[in-house]
Amino acid sequence: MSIRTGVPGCVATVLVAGITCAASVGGAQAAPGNDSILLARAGSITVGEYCRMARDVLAAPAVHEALGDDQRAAALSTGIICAIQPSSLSLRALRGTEPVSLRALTRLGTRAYGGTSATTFEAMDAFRMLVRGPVVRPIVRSALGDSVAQRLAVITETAFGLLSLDARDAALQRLANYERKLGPTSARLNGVEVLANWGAQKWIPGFRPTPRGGPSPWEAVAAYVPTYATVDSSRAVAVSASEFGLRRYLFGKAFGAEGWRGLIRPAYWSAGMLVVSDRNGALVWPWDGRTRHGIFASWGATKVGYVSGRNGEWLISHQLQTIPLVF
Amino acid sequence: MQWPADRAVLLVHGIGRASLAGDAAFPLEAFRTALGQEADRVAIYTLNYDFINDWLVTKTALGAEIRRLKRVLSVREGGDDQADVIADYAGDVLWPVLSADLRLAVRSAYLAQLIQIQLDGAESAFSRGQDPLDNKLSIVAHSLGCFHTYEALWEAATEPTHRLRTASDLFRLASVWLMASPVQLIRSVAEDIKAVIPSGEMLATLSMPLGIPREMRHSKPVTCTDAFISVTGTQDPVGGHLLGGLQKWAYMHLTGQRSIVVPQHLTNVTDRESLALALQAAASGETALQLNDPHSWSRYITSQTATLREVLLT
Repeated sequence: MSIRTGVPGCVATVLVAGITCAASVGGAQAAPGNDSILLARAGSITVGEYCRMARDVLAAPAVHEALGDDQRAAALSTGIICAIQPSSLSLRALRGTEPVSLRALTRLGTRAYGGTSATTFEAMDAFRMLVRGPVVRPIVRSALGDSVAQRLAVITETAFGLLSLDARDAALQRLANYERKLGPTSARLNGVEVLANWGAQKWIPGFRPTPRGGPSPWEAVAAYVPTYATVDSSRAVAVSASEFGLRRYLFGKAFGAEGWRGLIRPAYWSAGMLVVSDRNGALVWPWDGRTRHGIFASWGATKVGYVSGRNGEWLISHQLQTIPLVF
Repeated sequence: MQWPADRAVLLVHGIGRASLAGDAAFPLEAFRTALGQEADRVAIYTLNYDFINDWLVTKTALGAEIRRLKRVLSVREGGDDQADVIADYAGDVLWPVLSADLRLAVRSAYLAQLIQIQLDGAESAFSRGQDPLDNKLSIVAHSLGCFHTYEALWEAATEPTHRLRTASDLFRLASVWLMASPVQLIRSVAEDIKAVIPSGEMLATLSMPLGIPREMRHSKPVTCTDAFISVTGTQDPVGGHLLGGLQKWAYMHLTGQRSIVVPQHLTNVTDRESLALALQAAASGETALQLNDPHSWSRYITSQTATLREVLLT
């Protein structure tokens, strides 16, 4: 028996490309590269072959009859599939997962290519539903024979498989984005921020996650930060500040690095307003005495701020939570 | 992954104190034993999502909200000291409703795994010269995994971009087993605190009447499976029972589901007080009383050996 652990088991380390790593996490057999097999087959099936197969299937009287009210929809889908030129274009090339030949490009036109591909694959999807459903499928087999039915299965499922690959990768990308926002490289929230972000997700559309779009990149910042530092009279001194602003997570493979690489390609940036007491020091209440206001910006965990008053002060800090869920 | 034959099963675990006592891992041995020699012909997938829970627990403080949910549950259970224990035991399955991020992250992982299983199954079928649409995939979920399964299957059935709709994408399952499902319990308790639940409209459990996930085609419902099976026990509070009695507000009963209620006889448990003690012991993993855990996934599987074989292997 072979066992495969779930996709998420490897997300933390491999992110989007990691679907096949799951097997090794569970100590089970490695995936043999079904994606590669599917893509290779998609490279060998042409749109013209799909078109001919679709026409042959619809030409069978028994199939035609079995389709009933769906006859027109099936004919329409076939028409869209057969309209693609050149017909020698492979399914893989049409989907855009392999380079298109110069000849194909000159005849198809690059501008129309994207829209044509999407429309054609939707037509293939619709055709599959109509002729491969539980009612029509056995009739196709009895009317056209086992070998034609199996070839139809190979062609339709290969085109559908390309759509499924995209759907899987989209789901994994969403999951990777959730990991970016919630996982080990994300900023920890304090109690106030938990409430602020809960409210923002409930009442402000831009903060909400969506089933298709994944997490919102935005997060509210409302923190007491006792770890700023500045230079006062040639001496480094601690400064405590309150921050109010926004944090934006940087989704995509290029960001979210850990260690020193995280300095260049961090998981997030943030910006907002600072409130600082005119009394420097660690654990000073920002509204103690005369308050000063300023701005801060961060690139990952590295933060820089500037506050007015006196001669103006530059502050520097590193994002960290000294007491979990407090500050 | 290559399927050894035309069958596969996805196991989806639960989480929380009720699930961690003895059944933290997937009950693979119990499952293999139930299938007997045929087990070698079934590809077994698992879905892990507890690391997503860990992200959120680390990042935020959900303790207060979880306590609020458990208070609501305790009141529904009777409001006495024993109710607090029962709520503590069963209430750990409630907290995903408090975080839209968590729910949707788990859902994304679930959908990615379903699509991957489909892709694996198709290649395996072609390598055997068979039609992928003859493949038979089943899901066996436990406890909180039932909630995530319910949500994921509704999303799959209704959202075109996942390519997992029941009619339009021909994605139909051989069977779906929900063992000790808290779906109705979550719905009832969450209704009481609807105001604090973020993005409730994205929850199939809350936003519409409960039902087997389906897509409408030509005005007719096409359900995700013809065999939607609910298994729970007469002593399992997560599955909607207490001391042998079915609690309507907590027991999942979907139109069209096949319902199996396993008679459970817990040693020395005759009243609420002794049940509370047994649950407390089970949750803390005390070996002596662990055998009495009414929520054990392994025991559910063992109790359903004949039905599992009948549904999964024929």
